[in-house]
Amino acid sequence: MNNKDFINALASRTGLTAKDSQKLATAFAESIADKLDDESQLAVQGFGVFEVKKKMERVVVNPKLKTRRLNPPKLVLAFKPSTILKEKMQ
Amino acid sequence: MKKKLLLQDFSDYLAKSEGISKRDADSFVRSFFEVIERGLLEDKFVKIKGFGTFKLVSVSERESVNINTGERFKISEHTKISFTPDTTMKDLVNRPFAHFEAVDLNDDTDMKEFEIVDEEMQEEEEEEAEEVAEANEDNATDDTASATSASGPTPESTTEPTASIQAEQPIASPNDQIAAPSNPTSPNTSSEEESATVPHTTEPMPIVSAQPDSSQASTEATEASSAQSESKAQPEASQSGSSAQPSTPSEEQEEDLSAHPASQSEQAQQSASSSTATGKKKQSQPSADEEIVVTPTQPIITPKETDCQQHESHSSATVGYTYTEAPMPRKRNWWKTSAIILGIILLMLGSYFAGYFRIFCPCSLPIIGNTWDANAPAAPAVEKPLPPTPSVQPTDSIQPKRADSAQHPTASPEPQSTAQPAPSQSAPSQPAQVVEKPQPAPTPKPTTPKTAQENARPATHRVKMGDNVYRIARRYYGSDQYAQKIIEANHLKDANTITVGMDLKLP
Repeated sequence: MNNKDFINALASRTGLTAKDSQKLATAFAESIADKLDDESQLAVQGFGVFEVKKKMERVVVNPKLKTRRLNPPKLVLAFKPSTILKEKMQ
Repeated sequence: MKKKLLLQDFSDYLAKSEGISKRDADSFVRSFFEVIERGLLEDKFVKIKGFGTFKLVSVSERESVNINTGERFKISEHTKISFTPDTTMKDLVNRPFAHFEAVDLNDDTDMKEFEIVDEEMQEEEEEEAEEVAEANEDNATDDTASATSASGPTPESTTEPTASIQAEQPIASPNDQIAAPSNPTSPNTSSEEESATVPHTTEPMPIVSAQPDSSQASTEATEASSAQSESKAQPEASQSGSSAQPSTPSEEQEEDLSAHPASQSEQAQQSASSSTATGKKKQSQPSADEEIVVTPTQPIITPKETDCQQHESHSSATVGYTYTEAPMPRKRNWWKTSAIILGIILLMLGSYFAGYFRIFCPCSLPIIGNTWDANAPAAPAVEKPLPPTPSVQPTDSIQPKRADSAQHPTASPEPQSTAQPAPSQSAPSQPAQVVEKPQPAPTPKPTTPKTAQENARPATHRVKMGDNVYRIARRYYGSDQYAQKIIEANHLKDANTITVGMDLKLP
């Protein structure tokens, strides 16, 4: 299911136009990115938990050139599915 | 634990920002996830622009070993749900850290430098943790149980003070280079603290009788600790400490050392104030005193501190790493300073007694009144030169205590001989006034480096070797996320453009 299918399915379900639902979907995604930070998580009942995880800075070595590189710390959005969803997907 | 946001929070937000009804937003958000679920079941993958991709990944059967029993068992084939955020989503989430770039490291950049800084920070944190543990002990006795249990793994939580000194040395010794400077200083701290506890514990006794004792004990303490700063006579000090107060110091020491894992510079401030409060409690006005006592603390640290700094700079110079900001030895002086403050407050009490008594019976004891005349002006005179001149000789700090002890023997016979119990009884209730007196005097004094170190963060930070912006941010604000603010405040191009010796403004 690509984005187009997803938006169409969403539109038919909510009764909005595809354009509106695309707009809402992007707004929703942005609001998640905005509101989630290091200290909070979004728990969706029966679906899973979205949370922002902090990855520390680290030194990586290029295996070919053997040069070392300091990778900066970063924030990553992680998703952990709930057991209900996991069981459904079996 | 992370704060849990529910879907409702987001639907409310969406309703506001998009101008739709809450009910619509709610149903939209719900169906959003329902559609994802359905799509996953149908197509095994759902791609949403601006959000990410959900995928079902099948994991084939594999064998594994139970780590407890060593038994082999099979993990059956199953599907895993993976989520990969979209690049736009990734960037949005990572926005606070977006300015960071990967840096190529040269071969000659020594990772030891990083480690050294880390260890230093750890040591600092440990010390702060000790102080915090103290604070906890004072504030809520219930906490001590959890604190001691938390400190289980740390080797410092041994019961005997002497044992803790021994325990600390092996910790320090493995770090070959840094160990050299830290070794002589770290035993100092523990025994200093210990010697500082001695005057603390002696002072709860009835005021008049305790004064000679406490002044003796504190002079002993100063002598002992100054001897230590020459990195000798540790056992002597610990013995004198434990012999003066056999039971209580060890108990206190134990609780002091129970390191509570939380350590922040703000907490250090709190703990400082409450550690001074411990001494004050005995005079039964802890809350009112806290603020008052903290302020005079700063000017009076002088003699020992300079000693320590010299010592520190000596030892660090031998290794080659000179850290101009050596924060550790100053923290250790909290006990000492609070002891000195106590002494001074006792001295003031004495002078108050003197004045008070003179007002009430000037005629009945003209002879003693004359002796008071001589003493009373002397007391403020001794006390005043102390705070303004930060570099007083060690002998000076002992002198006022001697004067103090000289006064009080004369004070104690008086109420009895004149049979006027009023001053002696009213005195314990009065100290509020007495203690408030010093407040206006010491506060306007220039703040010593100590305030800059712990109480408030300094306006600027000189970049040391191995520093980076995140580390500085973590140190002064407690979180990496403030690195961005530091960068903005200094108009840095990016986080890596700082150089050693540079002064960074701290917003």
